[in-house]
Amino acid sequence: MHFPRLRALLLASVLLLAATAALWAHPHMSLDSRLEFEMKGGECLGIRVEWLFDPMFSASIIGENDLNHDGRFDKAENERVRKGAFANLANYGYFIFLRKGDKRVCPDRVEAFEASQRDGRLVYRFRVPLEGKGYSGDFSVAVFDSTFYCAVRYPADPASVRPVEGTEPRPGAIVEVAANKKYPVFYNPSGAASDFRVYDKWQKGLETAYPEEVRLHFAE
Amino acid sequence: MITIRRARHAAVVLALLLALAASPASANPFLTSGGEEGRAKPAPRPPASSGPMVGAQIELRERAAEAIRSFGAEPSAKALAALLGAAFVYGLLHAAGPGHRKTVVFSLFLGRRAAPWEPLAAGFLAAGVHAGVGLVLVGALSLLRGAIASLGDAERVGTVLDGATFGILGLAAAALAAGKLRGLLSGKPRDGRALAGRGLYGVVAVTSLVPCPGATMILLFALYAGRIGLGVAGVAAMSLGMGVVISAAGYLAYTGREGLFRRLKTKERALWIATEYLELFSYLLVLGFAVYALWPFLAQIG
Repeated sequence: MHFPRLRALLLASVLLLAATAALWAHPHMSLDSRLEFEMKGGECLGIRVEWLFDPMFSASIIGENDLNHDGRFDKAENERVRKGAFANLANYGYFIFLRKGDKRVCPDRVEAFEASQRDGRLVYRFRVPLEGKGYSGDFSVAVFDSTFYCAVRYPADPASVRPVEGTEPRPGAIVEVAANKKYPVFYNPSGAASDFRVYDKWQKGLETAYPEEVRLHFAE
Repeated sequence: MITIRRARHAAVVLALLLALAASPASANPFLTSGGEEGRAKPAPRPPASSGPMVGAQIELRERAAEAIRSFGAEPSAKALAALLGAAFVYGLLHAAGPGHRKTVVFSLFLGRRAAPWEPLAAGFLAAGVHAGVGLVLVGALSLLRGAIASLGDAERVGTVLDGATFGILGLAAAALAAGKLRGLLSGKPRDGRALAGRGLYGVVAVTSLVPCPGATMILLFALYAGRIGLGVAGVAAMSLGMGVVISAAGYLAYTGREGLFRRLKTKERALWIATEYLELFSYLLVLGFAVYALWPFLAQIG
């Protein structure tokens, strides 16, 4: 091969790889996440999470678990979905990263899991209980998969606030999706199966990510 | 001298061990291992980041799904073209991310002389096997199950294959590097015939025997829509897109090597050193890559 042709080929390869490898993107599925903060005055007692999945993942989970094909999950089917396609998220903190100040935690449990179908797409709903955990004033929630298997998107209305029954809402609540460049998530992508810690500080072998956050705070 | 045949035997043994050890692994964080509520993390190393084109990939997948649906409702050339176009571009972007054996193809062409068409052939072979094994896997699991294959089963087998092929790759690279090093130390280096011709394509094919989850999901979606032909066409188009990117990795190594050798062609000694050490370096690069990818697997076994 002539040298100029070789150089052209080299340039083309570099450009193609640079143009694509720089994107460095690799999700295999996606979900749209919406949050609802349950408030008692200024204290958050829990977060209702709703995930709407992409059509391809939806087709598989619906196809495998809606056994009578009636377009809904009955109690037994719901439990089947929970066990087979949700419970494992306990190993990933349910993709929920709560931050108050510079303290970050993942919930150790969630409750009220419910799977449903909307226009052929899979929907999960569950609740993150926060009673007595001091989430009031100003705090943030990131929904993030540290394995990058699942891309998470926030819709145009990513979150809302709902006062619990019989209580008055504290006025001035603001919820917004905020870029996060200050509070990284440190996680161990290659740790042992039982290792799902959220690390406070970077250590050797840990990866760092800055997931977008949904921030709840109050106007002064 | 460790022969390729011995390395292959050892690799098969390791692959089986890894397959056994990795059985509880699950790549998809949602899916429970073995039907039980397990505590599994993905065994092969997951990627370290995502990126700005994630939105585009998601949109392309959704377009492909929509095209399959609309073709199902009313078959048209437009819907077919939309599916093939979306799957092709998705393949391009998807292969640009971590995985898909770009490093393997790059390393192999760094260490070996090749004809100008070979990186193209190797790239498309890797992409074809990568996507094709998904078709075979979904087909086989569906036949075994007597119903459409479960995504969890397909991904579990995929995870095991991922680990096993990295094991084979690491062992083959270690054997080849050891042979090369021994030759260099004894002053009678072998000339890199170990991976000449079909050997290289064998390595590329064997290490690509990992189903692409993206392709598996397209196929499963088409199966649930009752349009298996569209699923196969979509996976083929995706595979073409991936082939372009994987070939580019091969050409990067090929052009770099050819350029270097052209500059050294009048300096016989320097050319000899470059040939020998570049080959050794390429084997070590593959070995390092295999160990890096397998590390979470090994940590889990330990």
